[in-house]
Amino acid sequence: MTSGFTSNDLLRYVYGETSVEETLSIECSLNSNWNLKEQLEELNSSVNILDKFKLRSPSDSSIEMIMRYNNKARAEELETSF
Amino acid sequence: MRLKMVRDRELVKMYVSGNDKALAELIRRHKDRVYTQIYLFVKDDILAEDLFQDTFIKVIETLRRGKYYEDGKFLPWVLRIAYNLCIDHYRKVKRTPTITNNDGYDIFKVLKFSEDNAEQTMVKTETCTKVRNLIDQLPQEQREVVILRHYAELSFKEISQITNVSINTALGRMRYALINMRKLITEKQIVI
Repeated sequence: MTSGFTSNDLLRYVYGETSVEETLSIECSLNSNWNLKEQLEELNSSVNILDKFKLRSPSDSSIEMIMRYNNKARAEELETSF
Repeated sequence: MRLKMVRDRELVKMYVSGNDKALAELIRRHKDRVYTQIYLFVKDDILAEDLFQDTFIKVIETLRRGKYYEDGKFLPWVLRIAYNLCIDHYRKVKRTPTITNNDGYDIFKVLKFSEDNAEQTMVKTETCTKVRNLIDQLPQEQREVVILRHYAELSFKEISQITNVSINTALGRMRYALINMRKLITEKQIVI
């Protein structure tokens, strides 16, 4: 990869994991480095595909079961403390 | 106090001090991310629900025993528990997740597109299924990083700690995952 950045650097940039200095440096290079820009666009388009799978939710009954478990544990704790 | 405004760290302290509403808020806040991670690993709704419950039961037990140490963030810790439970599950059944051609039937049960009309819902569901199939076809190590980075939103550093690899390896796996996804899309002429 040209301009001193590795592909891994660019991936960290896409996921917002670069430092302020690295971010500025990459963005500066993007203005003049067509190859880097192309690689970034390719990465972004792949990442955008992943975005199309939306987060899923557990059922309400699962949440209720967890809270019931917690309440039971709390009650047992109270009993033993007396 | 509006719990929605309270940071995870404070909510954990409040829960340990006896405030169960703090636990409810922590679950509300992170349930989708935790559940999606588990679901993408196990590819089965019923099993994912079980492992989701087991995850939070373990969270409750650990917090109540005072065994949780604030050496990291709450969510990565929960996701690590979920990840380990998924791994344990596959160890128990003595198999690794298999590549499947999912027909997407189950996605109708959980995804909530109530605001859309039937046609929009169908298109979104089909797209979700296509993306999930793409993820399912990735090599296990790459799939793992995609789920942990993109859907669980762990950093590459956190992923490297959970999966016991270097950060560069985690980054490399993610890169190859994205490359392989594009290859699959081209080869199979998938329209997303």
